[in-house]
Amino acid sequence: MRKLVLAWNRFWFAPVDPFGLALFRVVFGAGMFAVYFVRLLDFGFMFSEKGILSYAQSVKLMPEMYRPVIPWHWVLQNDGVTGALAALLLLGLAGITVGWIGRRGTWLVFILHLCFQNRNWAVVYGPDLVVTFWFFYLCFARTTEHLVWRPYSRRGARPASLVNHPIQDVGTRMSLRFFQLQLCIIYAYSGLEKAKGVPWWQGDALWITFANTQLTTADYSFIHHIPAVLAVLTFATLLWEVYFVCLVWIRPLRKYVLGFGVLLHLGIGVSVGLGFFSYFMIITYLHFLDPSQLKRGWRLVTDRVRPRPRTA
Amino acid sequence: MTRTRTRTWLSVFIVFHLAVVLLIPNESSYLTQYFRPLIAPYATTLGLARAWQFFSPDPGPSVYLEYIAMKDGTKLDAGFFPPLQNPFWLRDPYNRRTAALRMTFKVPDYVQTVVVPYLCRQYPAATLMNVSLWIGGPPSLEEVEKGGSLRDHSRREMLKTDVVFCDPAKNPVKGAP
Repeated sequence: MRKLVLAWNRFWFAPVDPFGLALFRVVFGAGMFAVYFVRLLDFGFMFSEKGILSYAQSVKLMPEMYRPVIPWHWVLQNDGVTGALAALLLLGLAGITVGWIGRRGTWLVFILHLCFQNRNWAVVYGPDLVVTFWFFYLCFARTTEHLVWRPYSRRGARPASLVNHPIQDVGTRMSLRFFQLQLCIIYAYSGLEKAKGVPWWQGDALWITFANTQLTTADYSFIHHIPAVLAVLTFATLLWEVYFVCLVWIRPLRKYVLGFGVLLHLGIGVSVGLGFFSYFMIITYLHFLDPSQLKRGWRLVTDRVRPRPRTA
Repeated sequence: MTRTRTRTWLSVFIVFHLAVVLLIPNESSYLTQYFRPLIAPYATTLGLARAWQFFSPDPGPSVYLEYIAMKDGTKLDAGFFPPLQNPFWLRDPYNRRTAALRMTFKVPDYVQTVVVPYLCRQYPAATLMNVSLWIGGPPSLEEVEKGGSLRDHSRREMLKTDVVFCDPAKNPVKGAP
């Protein structure tokens, strides 16, 4: 029993280097900013009273399974307030990205996100489903130890040390574990749900996807020349999703498991037009990578983009 | 002592949260139904009440609403919602329109109470909308090998057709539009 408690405590409460979470904060915040910016370009359809769902309809018709105990969206009853809060949300997302908003502020921006999510539940799809989870888990983490944009500081956003520097903060560790486990749950459910479907067993599910012109971004009829490849990829996708939950924890296999995931999501992003969804899935893989590797990668990138001092 | 107490309470929260995110996606299961009063308020309030069914159990058909906007027996315009081709520069607005129409399978009378009123707002002069809900399965590999086109909509199937007035008082469906 004592061993079990120790293992639990180590898994959930051991010190952790927050660099990976800080890097996730940057890419997640930037991605969310882009998502909401695009949504606001479509403000009339999405959130206005003349759009697809007026506020009154939104409240009246909301399916029971989405209906929150706290009706967050009551503040978005008219277009003026909705527009002002949308601008505030964009500012909040920008603040999270550059590290000017800490843990408490992230909770407030998360609540604003819930307001907009509930205001128009009818247009919610793939990326919105996952980002709510990621946003919620990010609220627990202390991420402003690294990658905070300080325009007047010489140190900038460069990590001080390339080696791991764990901090003792239970919320940060919990956040990391929630991210990892949630990703496993999403893939396991997706795989098991797919396994119920005949096309995934027959091996033509990818064909059905590529042949659906409402889903795809181009005419993919040329792939009928490679039916065996499509069948292999269909089965590979199914098996990968079902077994991700086991395989990703085996260190020697991790890079291959995540590599397959990156290719899969890039494929979905390009062919089916689910770019945002793919982005938000791929960036979560950061939580399975060693922070010291991430620091080296970040330093490599920043050294390349940073202007070098001129020599005489 | 304080640290142990904090960890104990956090452990209770962790177990509860994991139970919620494990149970909620499997809505029809006995366990989810049994614990629903306990877990649903937490999950719905935080936006965590979601099922993970991407392209499953099958990738699903395309769904379109064909409409004819009419005014006093005269056709004003006709089209599809969402349009047959993505008219936007980015894909996201098109995906959201598709998602909006797919809600018709989850919310009763959705076409009459949500989609048609929206279309009526786009055509302020229209008095009624003649609408047909279509689903289209893609052609099989063999059909395409024989020269079939992916854009061939002859395989589509009409789910329902209806005439909905833009004036709510004239409609039999309560609350529409």
